[in-house]
Amino acid sequence: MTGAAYPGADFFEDRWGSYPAEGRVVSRLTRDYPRKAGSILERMYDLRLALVAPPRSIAHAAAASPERRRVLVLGVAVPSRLDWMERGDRQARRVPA
Amino acid sequence: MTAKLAASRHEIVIRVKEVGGKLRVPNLNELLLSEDWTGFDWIITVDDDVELPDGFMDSFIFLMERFGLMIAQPAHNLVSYASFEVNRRAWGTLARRTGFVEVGPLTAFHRSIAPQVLPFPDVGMGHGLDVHWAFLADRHGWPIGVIDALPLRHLRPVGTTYDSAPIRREALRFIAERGGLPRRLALRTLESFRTL
Repeated sequence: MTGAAYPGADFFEDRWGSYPAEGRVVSRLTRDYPRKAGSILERMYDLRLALVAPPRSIAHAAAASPERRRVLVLGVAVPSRLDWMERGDRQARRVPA
Repeated sequence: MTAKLAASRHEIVIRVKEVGGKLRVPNLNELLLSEDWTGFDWIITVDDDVELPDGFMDSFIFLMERFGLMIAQPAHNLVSYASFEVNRRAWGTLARRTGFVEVGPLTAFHRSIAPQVLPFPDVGMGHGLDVHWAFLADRHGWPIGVIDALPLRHLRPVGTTYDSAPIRREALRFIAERGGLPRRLALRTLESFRTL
């Protein structure tokens, strides 16, 4: 079921909000970003990752790799926007907007 | 953010423009075509509403190459606005090969597959491109995936600066014409990498 026979509609059913509805606990906890639980969980993930590969070891390995690459970075800046960070902070503190 | 992208031992060329009266993809193509992009090892597109970890670029390039990924993105951290769970950071993994890499907020393309996906087909904000990349990756066996060790934070919900209904219709039309991978096949982790 690939190619032109696939209409693609299912991909967009829950994409157009801010969070997926895929039911994982982490998604539910972090849904109303940026809640406190999210940052606590983030630290736990960081600690777990540090046991697998400390960030310093990744950086050392990256620095030791011999090849120097050419990288093109393309960005489009949006000059004006709603201040979503501020809105999120207000929601987290339960202060009326 | 551009300072973190430029802080690298690699040769980094950054091209940024304001959105102007155009949508995202025409802007990116304009930037792309202003350079001899075929001479670059990696081409990275980035939105302006992300926070990146320190030392991002060198480790990102290293990890993508270490795990052989041809299209890749950093994972979303746990407080990042994300669209799909498969692109959010996973527990205790450095990187994962997945069936799907998002069109944003930061996406990297290796030179080996760049001519097959660049310049971008003109689909406005780019939605649907990633579903098509998933299709191409599946068909051609391209390894694509997510770098969990360098999670970013997307500061803004998806689709809040434009009317999403026509964008969605355009995406669906594009997928129907060019091919896409169904959600159940695309939004999967195919392999997890836990050691360097």
